[in-house]
Amino acid sequence: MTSARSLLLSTLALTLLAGLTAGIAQVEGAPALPAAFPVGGVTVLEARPFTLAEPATHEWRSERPQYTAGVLLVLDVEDHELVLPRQVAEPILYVGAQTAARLNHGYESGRVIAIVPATTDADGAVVFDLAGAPIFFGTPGLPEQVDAETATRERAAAVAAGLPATTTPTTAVHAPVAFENDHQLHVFAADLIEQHSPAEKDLVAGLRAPLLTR
Amino acid sequence: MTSPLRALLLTSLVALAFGPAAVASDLTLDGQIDAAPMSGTSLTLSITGTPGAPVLLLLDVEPGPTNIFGQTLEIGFSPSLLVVSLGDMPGSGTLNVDTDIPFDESFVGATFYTLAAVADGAGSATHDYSNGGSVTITDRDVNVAGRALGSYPHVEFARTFNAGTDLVVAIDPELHPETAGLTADVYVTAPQSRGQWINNPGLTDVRGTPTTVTFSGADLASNTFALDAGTLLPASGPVIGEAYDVVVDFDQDGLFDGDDFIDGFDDTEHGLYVVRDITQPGPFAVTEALYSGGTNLAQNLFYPSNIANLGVLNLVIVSHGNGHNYQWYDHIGEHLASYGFVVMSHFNNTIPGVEAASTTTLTNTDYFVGNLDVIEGGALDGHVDVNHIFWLGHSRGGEGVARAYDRLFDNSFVPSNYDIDDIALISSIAPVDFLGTNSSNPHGADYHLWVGGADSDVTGCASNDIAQPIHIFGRAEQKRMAISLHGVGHGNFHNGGGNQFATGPCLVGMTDTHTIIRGHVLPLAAFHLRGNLAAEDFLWRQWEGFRPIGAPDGNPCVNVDLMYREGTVAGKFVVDDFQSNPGVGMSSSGGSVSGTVSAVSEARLDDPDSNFTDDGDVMNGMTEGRSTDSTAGVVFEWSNGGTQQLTFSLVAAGQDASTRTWLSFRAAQSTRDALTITALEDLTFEVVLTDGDGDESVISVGAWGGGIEEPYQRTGCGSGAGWNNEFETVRVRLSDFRHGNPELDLSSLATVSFRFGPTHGSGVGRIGFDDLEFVD
Repeated sequence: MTSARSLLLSTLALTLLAGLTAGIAQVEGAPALPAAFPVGGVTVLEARPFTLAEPATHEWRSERPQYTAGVLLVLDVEDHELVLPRQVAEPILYVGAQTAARLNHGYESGRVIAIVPATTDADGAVVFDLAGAPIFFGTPGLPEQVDAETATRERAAAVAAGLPATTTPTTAVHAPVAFENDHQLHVFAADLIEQHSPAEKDLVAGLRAPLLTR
Repeated sequence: MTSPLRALLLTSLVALAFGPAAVASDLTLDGQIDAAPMSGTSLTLSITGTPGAPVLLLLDVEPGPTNIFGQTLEIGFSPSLLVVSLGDMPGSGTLNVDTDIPFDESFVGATFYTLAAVADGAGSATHDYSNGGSVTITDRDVNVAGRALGSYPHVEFARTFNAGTDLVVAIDPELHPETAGLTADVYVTAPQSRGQWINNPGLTDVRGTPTTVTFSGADLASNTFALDAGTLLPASGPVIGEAYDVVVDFDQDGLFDGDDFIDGFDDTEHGLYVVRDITQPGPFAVTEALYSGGTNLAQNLFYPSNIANLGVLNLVIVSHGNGHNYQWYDHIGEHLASYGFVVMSHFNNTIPGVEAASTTTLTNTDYFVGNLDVIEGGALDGHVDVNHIFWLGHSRGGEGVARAYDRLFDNSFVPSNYDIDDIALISSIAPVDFLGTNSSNPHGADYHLWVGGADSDVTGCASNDIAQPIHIFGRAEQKRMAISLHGVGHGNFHNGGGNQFATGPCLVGMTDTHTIIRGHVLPLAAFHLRGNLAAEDFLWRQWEGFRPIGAPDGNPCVNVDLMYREGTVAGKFVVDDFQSNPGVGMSSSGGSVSGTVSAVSEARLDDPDSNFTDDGDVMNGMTEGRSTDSTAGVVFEWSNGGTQQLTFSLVAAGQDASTRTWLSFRAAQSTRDALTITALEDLTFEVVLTDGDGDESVISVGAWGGGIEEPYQRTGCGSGAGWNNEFETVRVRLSDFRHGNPELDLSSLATVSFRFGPTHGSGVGRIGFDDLEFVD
């Protein structure tokens, strides 16, 4: 190694050492959210209709409705900052006039796996139509405080803002899956999270915790 | 209710011949008019009078005086009066009677009044009456062991000492003149209960030999002697603190007897406790498990591997924050489990909101308690105390645990396997406040708070009520505690990855934050769930003077402030909590408040605008309440270069502090104020107690190291530097005031004052002030 390189290396080492002894210099603040909502930039990568033998509760609405069918979506979020987990109000993800229950945060990957409750027809098939429904991030808040009036208002705002209706490639729609209960649905979703947002290892491991039975 | 002794006093009145009365006899008790012998010691009563004359002793519970036959006799002549014949006066004209004061704890604090009646000549039907005298029985338990301070009050007679601390023995000759010049053997012994000390008085020093000292000093400072150079061993098991008693054996007979002093003559609290480094793991290996009870019931469990041999263990339940994971609290789970706790961290449904999070706290607790026979193959069944549960929540989980308690309080959630009385402690790490006053409310539960000053998520800025973590603390009605950490970000509290949400100067980082957490959560759990007395000191003593051995002292960014307010069940008199009588001239207890400090304002502790800019808001920087909260305090300043003071006059109910242990209050520097910026340092000032006779004693709040911390110098939230106002509690031992002036009568106080200015501490300053009280 040349003497110049040695000197450079020594200088670098000294600089690093000074930084360490001066306390931790790295600052991680909370990135600012967009100034205005709604915000789009969400596309559907996969859509899996599902049914539940046991009803589940949609905690992401103030009405807390029960549901036995829905769609498990894999979404791509263009602006990752929208899904940085925060303790204060976060942007609320809507599919049309319905809140989407995000199962992961997706900050590193930009991939969010979410559940949207749906209904079934007389034949038991899951009824969902993403076409015409914009998928967007609405006013920051707590999803559990969103009621029908709020959801309708947010959807109207998205339409008024010109956010495009969702286009879901037919290849993105998978065959329906039948689950016994919400827990099975979440375990299934863990596979999707692992595939699309691999950085969230702890979330995946947590969802796969062995089920205790009596 | 009368004491047993009073109950034994017969309501009998021997017919005294109340002829023309004359006060011509003298009565002394241990050479004094008013004696205060310790329980278990002896008392010498001395009466003068006509030789050969019969002597009677009158005992009463009322002092009088009573006017009788034109004379004033200093005794009450109440229905409880007892008259005792002491025989005839000796030829010397002085009758001395030795009597033993019972060890009975119920006698401590009782005062009895005496008067002698000596027949006026042998066979006379009239009597000479003596002066009155009083006997107040004091506690045999006397603080003698502590650590030396560099200045007055000279010795910190604390409860807990880190292993390796130099200990001293000290006796104030002005409070105990009977010890002047005496040589004693000072023993450090294994702890015993009161009954054990009475029945087994033999002294064995754990160090091998006692320390011999002669108490010849003229004051406390010169009557302070080295006792142990840090050789006392700390506890090695799961209990925090190895207990010791200290006996000053004046007659050097190797027995606790006679007039020997003892520090630790109590069934609950011993003389002193020596603790090891509580940031280090405890004695037990830890087993960790991951399992799920179904939807939203995934749990991460930590427990001692040898739980089968450990009896019933305390339970801690951790509820994580938004975007966090229930597997990110190993540093808490491992640490507590190594000391014999069971820790269960659960999936917390935070993304929908705080209500959903509170539901998962409630349901996961219910599931865990109801399935101990299944979890880990039943290894925990019969080994978990489900009646003293500690809920610890972070962020949205931090508000969630308070909301969960409120739902139990309102009966809007009824668990199957526990109830509200089983929740012993709630602690919130950097909680949000979405739901507000009526919903996120710990009511009368013991409540604890952690705040990170560099938190860029739950920022604490005045601009967002939701992001102010101190609100829930302000709502706690009874016992409330807090730890505030400069330089600590939101994500530093867990051990997961991702954004640490830390903004500000001199960041502490995750590693050192976790060291602080281990050293605080352990005593928090040990004291509140187990009643481990030695642990309590870590929750309130100023960090500068006392902290865990392993505290990250090498990190200059570490600044820790503690708040500690007892609930009413502990026994206290609140001088002023500013929750009533909102005018600055009257305290909440109804006494007058006066002074020469400037810019005095009393209001809700709530910055009314959206920033910390010093723009004239009297409550600038206060973030303890929102508009719907009622937490209040006072702010004032001093800057004229001379002495400025604030005085609280005590109403009758608060004047007798003789049975209390502490004077307590909390204070905070006002952020970004010109007087705060003038000298960015800990503020000090003096506390003054004055009794009804005008005797006063003064102690500086800096006596134990530290003072009132300067605000964390973080920018943002307006212009200037300095984050939210950070209260810290100061507790002064009331007996310390008597070392400064033995004439101070703690049973008859008139005022509590605070003196500010260059000759009393910091030259200038502006502070918030609250919770002035006398505490048992």
